Parts: sequence; structure tokens; C-alpha cells
Amino acid sequence: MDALTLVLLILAAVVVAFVAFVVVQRKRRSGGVIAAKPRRNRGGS
Amino acid sequence: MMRLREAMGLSVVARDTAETLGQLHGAVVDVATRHIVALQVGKGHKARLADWSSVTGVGPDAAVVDSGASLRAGRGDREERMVKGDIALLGGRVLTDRGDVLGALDDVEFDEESGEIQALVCAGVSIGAARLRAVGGYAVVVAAEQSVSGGDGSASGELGPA
Amino acid sequence: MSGEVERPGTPHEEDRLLLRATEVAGLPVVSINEGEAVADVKDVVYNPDQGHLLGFTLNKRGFLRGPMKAVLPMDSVAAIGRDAVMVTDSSVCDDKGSPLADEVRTSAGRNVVGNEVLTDTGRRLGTVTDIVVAADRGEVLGYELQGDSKLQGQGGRPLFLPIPVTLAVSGTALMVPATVEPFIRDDLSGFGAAVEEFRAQLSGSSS
Repeated sequence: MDALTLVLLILAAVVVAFVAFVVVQRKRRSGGVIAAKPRRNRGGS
Repeated sequence: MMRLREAMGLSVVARDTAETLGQLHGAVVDVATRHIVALQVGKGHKARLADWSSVTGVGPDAAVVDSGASLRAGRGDREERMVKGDIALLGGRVLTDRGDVLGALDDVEFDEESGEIQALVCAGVSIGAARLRAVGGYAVVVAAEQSVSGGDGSASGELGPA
Repeated sequence: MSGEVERPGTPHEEDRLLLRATEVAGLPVVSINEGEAVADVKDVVYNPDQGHLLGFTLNKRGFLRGPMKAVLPMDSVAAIGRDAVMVTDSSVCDDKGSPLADEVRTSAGRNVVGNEVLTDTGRRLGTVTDIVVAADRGEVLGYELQGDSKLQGQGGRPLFLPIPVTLAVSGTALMVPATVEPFIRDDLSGFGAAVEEFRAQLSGSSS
């Protein structure tokens, strides 16, 4: 393959890696609503 | 009584030589005493600070400092960040201690002789200097207005943006 | 239910800022004494039995930086507002070994959003989309649900279900007593009152 194709492939790989990083980091940062104090059955209320 | 925004851009002149040392680009505030404690002359790499004690006067047409020798570099982390622009006064985000943003800091009213801050102006509203809590890299923090009739922005049964 | 208009309160109304937990997630944690943002809110952690906030897990601030080990317990929180969670100073986020951190670890990130809500008489009320918090007291008023289609038909408005007394949380579902059903509301203006009535009923009938 010629040099240009190689460069473009490397560039594409870098972009893909970056996008993957962004996606992973956003998932790691995403927050939710956590219920603490797990409860099993409580008889009646 | 002077407004800081009017003073910005004023030439800073040395009293001993009548030389222009630079332009007024900012002010360093001590929150505990609620005073302006230094003026920033110039910006970027060339920025220097003039302690208020060396300022002979801030008038309508110029700010006068006793001597060019009084200008000094920022000392310590906080002053360096101010000079770099990381800690903004004018234009900074005004946030109450209850967690609500009031807007951008439009102006600061101060006594041009003592450097004492009288009020902050934000979103057309005057905030008494006694409410000032901090000037930091994220926000200027002010105490929320304690209001009897709910004027501090809370509303019954209303949620934030859905 | 466009909540953007601020109404001045009348003296007898309870003026409370109500926020959804998903609105608090992502807000900056700002220190009052320093004016610096020390972290971003990641998860909102609450106690489903008593209906109050226990605190927050945190993300580091900055472009794509990951979660922090430190957590922010509710007693270190000075205030929760529309735009920020306020703490007195940045040292409050440094505690890694706190009870809240243990709590979060043992609940294994049990995110209730998306959980089914079932009554103990076997009725499915809907799925959790959020919790509603009274910001001034860190009190959880109730759940916001996407109502079950049998209750509301398609495209129904969200339902609001008072807390406390979530009987159980499994990780995929919540169990609530059927006694809560009459107190379900579909808009917020009556919700505060419904929560009060529901709690009054609870404390009246049980010890």
C-alpha cells in the first residue's frame, strides 16, 4: 500500500480510538439514582 | 462612589514621573474585609499589581499610582490565577450560597478613596457587599437574599426544566 | 407543567424548590468559601424507606475525567440549588472511607431509574424515571414514574408516587404497599399535599 493510504488508515484508527474513549468515559461519568439500604421483606408497613 | 466597569481601561499613571504604566484591567478583592486591595495594570504576561496603599487616587480620567516601582508581580497561587484570568471578577458567574445562579457580575460599586466595596451589580439588581462570600475560579459566591415572600426564586410545586 | 415561571409565594403556601434527581446529577459541587467547583455530581443516593437523600457520588471535573472515589454525604452539603450543590469548603469531598461510600459499594450501584414499580397486591404501576426532591431539606418526596399503559394509556403524563415506605428494592423492581395508590398524582401542584397526607396516614396507623 502507498504512504497516503497508510497515513489515512492510521488517522482513521486514531479517530476510532478517540471516539471509543469518549463513549467509555461518558458512560463512566453517567449518574443515576441509587437506592441505598437494601431491604428484604418487611412484614407489613 | 465609583463603578469598576467605568474604571476599566483607564490609564494608570505614575505620580512621580507622569508616565503611563499601563491600563487598568482588573481589581483584586479581599472578601474578608470587602475591600479592593490591589489594581491590575496591564494584562497577560505583562500584568502587574499595584497594592491599594500605593494608589494615590482613582479618578474619572486616570488611576494614579505613587511610582512605577510600586508595581509588582502576582504573589501566590490566587493572585497568579487572577492575573491570568482564571479568577474573574467582572463578568464572573454570580452564584448564591443556596446553589442558584443569579447571572453575570455586571459591576462593582466601590469607594474610590478607601477601596471599600459597597455593592455588586448583577442582572440589574444591586447586591449589598455584606453578602459577598467568595471570589473564585468557578463563581463569585454571594449569600442568598432571605426573603419572606419567596422572592428568592423558589416556587411551590415547580420543578426545574423538565 | 412548565416549571420555568417563578411565582411569588403567598404567606401560607409552602415555597419549596422541587428538583428531579436527574436534574441534580451533573451539577457542579461548589465551595461557598472558595468559589471553586470541586467536583460534579454523579449519582444521587437516597434512602427509600425514610425518603431522604444520603448524599452524592462524584465525578472529577474536566473534559472526560472519570469518577472520584470520594463521596459527598448529605451532612456535608450546605444547599442544593438549580445550578449547583453547595458545600462549605472543598475539604468535604476528601473523605474516602465514609459510611456513605460503604453504602454505595454494597448497593452495587443499584440505579432505580428503569425499575418496575409493583404494589404488594400485584399491580404494576409503571417504571421509575426519576425521584422528586425538596431541595431545601434534602427530602425525597416521591418517585416520578412512566405510568403503566393499563393505567394511563399510551403517552400518559408522568405519575408521582409518594415516599416513604418502599417495601423492597431488588435491583430491577421496587415493591410498594397498595395503600399508596390513592395518593398517586399526575401533576406536581397537588403532590406535596398528597405526600403529607400519605405520611400522616402512615404515622396514624402504624408505630
